[in-house]
Amino acid sequence: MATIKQGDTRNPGLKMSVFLADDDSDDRTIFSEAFEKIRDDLQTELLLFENGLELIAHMKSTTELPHIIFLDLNMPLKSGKECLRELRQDRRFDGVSIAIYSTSNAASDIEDTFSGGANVYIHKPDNFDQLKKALRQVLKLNWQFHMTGMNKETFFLNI
Amino acid sequence: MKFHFSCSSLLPAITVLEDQLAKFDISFRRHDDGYLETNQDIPEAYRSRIQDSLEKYSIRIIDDERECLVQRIKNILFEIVYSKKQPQTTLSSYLADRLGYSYGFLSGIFAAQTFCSIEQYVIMIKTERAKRLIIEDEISLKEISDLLAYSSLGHFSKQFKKCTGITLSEFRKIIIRRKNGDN
Repeated sequence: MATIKQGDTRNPGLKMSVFLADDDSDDRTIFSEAFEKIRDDLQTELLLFENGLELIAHMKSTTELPHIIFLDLNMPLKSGKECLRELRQDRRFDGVSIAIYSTSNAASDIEDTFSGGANVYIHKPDNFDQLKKALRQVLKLNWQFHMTGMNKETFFLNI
Repeated sequence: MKFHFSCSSLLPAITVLEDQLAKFDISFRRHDDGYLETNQDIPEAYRSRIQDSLEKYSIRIIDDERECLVQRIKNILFEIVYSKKQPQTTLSSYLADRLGYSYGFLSGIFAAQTFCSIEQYVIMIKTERAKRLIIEDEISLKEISDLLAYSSLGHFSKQFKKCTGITLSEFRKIIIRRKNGDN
């Protein structure tokens, strides 16, 4: 588990907390680099998990819930879909948005995960700029939902 | 029994606020875009107690002036999207008239505080209202499109897709599957 903090003095105290569970270390690195590049906007904090088991264990033990979790679909031990199911069964996590971050863009994966309670579906972009753009879009929209107190049940974004 | 409900006005929040402030013997005047003016100064010692009593209703007292203005803009935008009649003038001149600042100034402050433009914000809350109406399932897509002042059903469906990445029919399918507990 690693932490990346980003500074922004405009809204001290308003910090968006983000978790990512992805078993591929390159993908984790690329994600955190893209994440760092959007520092000019939101004040954010990122926690990285190497698999679903680690993520679920942390979620169950912490009182500091993230605003949004990014889940890779294909992970050994506990897949993204299993994590999604477990997280959505626990009412404590109702306010946490879940983003699926996957190489698959199969219509069935998209529909299944949205039906299972995911809020965002990101098809892993193949270039860095697209990833930054997608990430910025997701985080901003999620922030609007959070700040406006809108119901997460109808928060959908497919990129 | 399961039922959906929606809450589109500030009225419940204001009723709660009136009840809570009455407990502290504070009288006030209500202004129509979501702020109150008390008739007397609130003693410092009361402030945190009032905050605490409002917290469980998710009501917050806003101290920062910029944040205040942004909240007033948001309240007006909600009012427009959730009311049946649309303002006769453009959104920009309507906001400028209501708040007494130039639109350029308002949009700058709004973007700096919310990381999103006023126009994007309107599209977002319109889309949210559309989703609620689709879930309630009482009026047709054409009627929803008219109610939200889209020029056509085609324009509505295009903007929905652009804003959410999914189509109206995909959205319906997902909602039905969620309702049926199909995880």
